[in-house]
Order: sequence, then structure tokens, then C-alpha cells
Amino acid sequence: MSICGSELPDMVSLAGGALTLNLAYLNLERFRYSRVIQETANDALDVLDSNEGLDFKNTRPYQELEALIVVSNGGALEDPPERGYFKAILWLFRWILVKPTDTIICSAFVIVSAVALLLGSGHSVGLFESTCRFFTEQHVVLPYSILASGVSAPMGFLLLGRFLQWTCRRLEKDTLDVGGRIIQKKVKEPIPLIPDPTADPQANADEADRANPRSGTQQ
Amino acid sequence: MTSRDMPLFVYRAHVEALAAKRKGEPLYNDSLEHAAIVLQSMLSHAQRSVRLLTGELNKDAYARRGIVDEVKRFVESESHSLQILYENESLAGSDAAAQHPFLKAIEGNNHVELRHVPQRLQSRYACHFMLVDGDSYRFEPDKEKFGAVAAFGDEDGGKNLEDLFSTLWDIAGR
Repeated sequence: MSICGSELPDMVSLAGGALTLNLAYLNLERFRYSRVIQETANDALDVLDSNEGLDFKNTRPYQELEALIVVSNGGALEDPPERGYFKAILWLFRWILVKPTDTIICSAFVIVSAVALLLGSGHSVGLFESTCRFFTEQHVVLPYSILASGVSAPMGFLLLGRFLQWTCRRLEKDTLDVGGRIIQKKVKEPIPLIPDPTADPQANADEADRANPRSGTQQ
Repeated sequence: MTSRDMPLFVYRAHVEALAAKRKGEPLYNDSLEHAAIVLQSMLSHAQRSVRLLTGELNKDAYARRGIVDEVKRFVESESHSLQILYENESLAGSDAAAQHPFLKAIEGNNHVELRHVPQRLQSRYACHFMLVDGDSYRFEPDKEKFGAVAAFGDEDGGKNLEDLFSTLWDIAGR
């Protein structure tokens, strides 16, 4: 039981947890998924673009990867993606991780939880008594809710970041699968020899027939 | 996890699963490590014939121990045949086998035939490929790039590659 009658000392551990998690989220680079997603998408497109002859660019996964890069750079999309599901993902990405709403929210929780920690510790030893009346039993729900949100928010952002990263890798895989199908389509068609400009037309036709006996040029 | 992020043992298991299914499912393939795994798997599943259209049997892939061991095992059987069309003339040199573990593994074997693709013919196709038993292949549509597709059990695609190979083989033999 606190000396000044405030319930805040009982929430000191919650405030400490919120402070730790939010500070970690703000300061650890590996928790910042905006950059990770941009790099993942860029790497995927670099590899795909190195195969110029293949028509990846008109595929949905490729275009969605491009959209992720545009959004991660804070740019506006000229052609919004068609899938509603992906639109929602982009919206979350833009407004929470890129803007950066996550940083603002976590910064606010750092301040709030630090203050709660100071006051709670103070109340338990009889300090800051003038503030004790704001943290009585009937007011306990509000500080508890704020501190609980402070614990949950960074974890929520991390989950969102992980989900977006997973989406990015999924798109990369989808694009590669499409790439495989695009190349395989070339194999499914007969592969004629490129005509030899120095040879006479009949010789070229004969060779084409040999390379593609099922659809020969001689009818 | 994408195929490019997969640890190699996971990728190998994935390739083996496709080889066991033999449904002609395409597998995009764009790195040397993955190419080597696919080529090794194709050789290990070869039952009858292996046909190879290559530039120079890139040592970074073909000189790997797993591939060399598999090709050695493959050519040991009387009923197997290995045909290689190559572009780089250095493979025809008298000391080529001494310098290339893959060539060394198949040297002097009766089931192996090699032909050089004449320079004038090399500009008349853009691809390189390995074709196994007429229905499994690793196909690079642009021989200057690594991007390729691999498939096990694709008879249609295999037939087209077989036709192309036969044409090139005949011309190269003239």
C-alpha cells in the first residue's frame, strides 16, 4: 500500500516495461522495418532487372514490390495496386512505419512511462504527494490503459514490420515463380535457330524444319 | 523465405522434391550455387541421356565435386549417353581434361561425345541448357545471364530442347 494513497506504485513495473520496450524500439536499428523492407524489395528487383529479356515488369508481384519501394521512399503511387488486401498493407506501411507514426507514438510512450516511473517510485516513498489525488483507485483505469498500450504498441509495430517483411519476401518469391513460368513458356514453344543472313533462304528453312519438325515450314 | 534466401541444404531438398514429383513445375534459378545444385540433381536422376549445350563448362559450377562425382557415376553405365556441345575451343585442347575436373571424369569414356559449335552457328541461338532424359532441363534463355528455369518431367519443353539440340548437333558434326 502506498504511503500517499496513490495506486501508481503498483504500476511501476508496467511503466518500467513500457519504457524499456519503447526505448528499445526507438534505438535498435533492427526493429526499424521501413529500411529493411526497402532493402529487401530493392534486392529482389535488382536481380529481376538483371534479366532484361524477361517480361517481369508486367507481373502483379513485381509491380507490388515496386509500390513498396515507392512508399518506403515516401513517394506517391501513380498506379495504385489493384488488390484491396495489398492496398491495406501499403496504407499501414505508409502511415505507420514510413511517416513515421510508430516513432512518434513510441517517443510519446517513453515520456509517459518515464514520468509514471518517476511518480510511482516517488509515491511509494511519500514524494510528489500533490499528484497522488490523480492516481487514486477510481482513476486507476486510465494510467493502467496508457501504460498497457505503451507495452503493447512497440510489440504491435514489430509484428506489423515482420508481417510487411514477410509480405515483401512472399512477393519476391511470387515474382521468381512468375519468372520461372515466363522462361518455361519460351521452352514450351519451339525454339527456332536465328536465320543465318549469309545463307540462302532454303538452307535456313531446312534448318528451321529440323529444329522444329512439328510445325515445319514445308506444308 | 524466398529461394534465394534459403540455406543451400533447404534449396537442395526443394529441388529433390521437385525431381521426385516430376510434374514439370518450373523453378527459377539465378545463382551459381543454385545452378550447381540443380545440375547435380539432374545428373543424379538421369536414367538414359544427358545433353548439354554450354559455353565452356563453367568451372565454378561444373568442376564442383558433387557434379563431377555424379557425371562419373552416370557415364559408367553402358546404357547411358552424354553429348556435349561446347562453344569455347579451349575445351578441345589436348590438355583440357587435365585442367577441368568434369572433362577428366568423362575422358576416354565410350558413352561420351563432344562437339564444338562452330563460331558461325553460335550466334544463331541465345540459350544454353542441360537436357536430361528428354524431359528434365535447366534452361538459360540468355547465355550471357544466369537467369534460368529448371523443370523435371516436362515432356513438351524437353521435346523442343531435344529438337534444337539435335539440329545443332547435326550441324556441328558436319
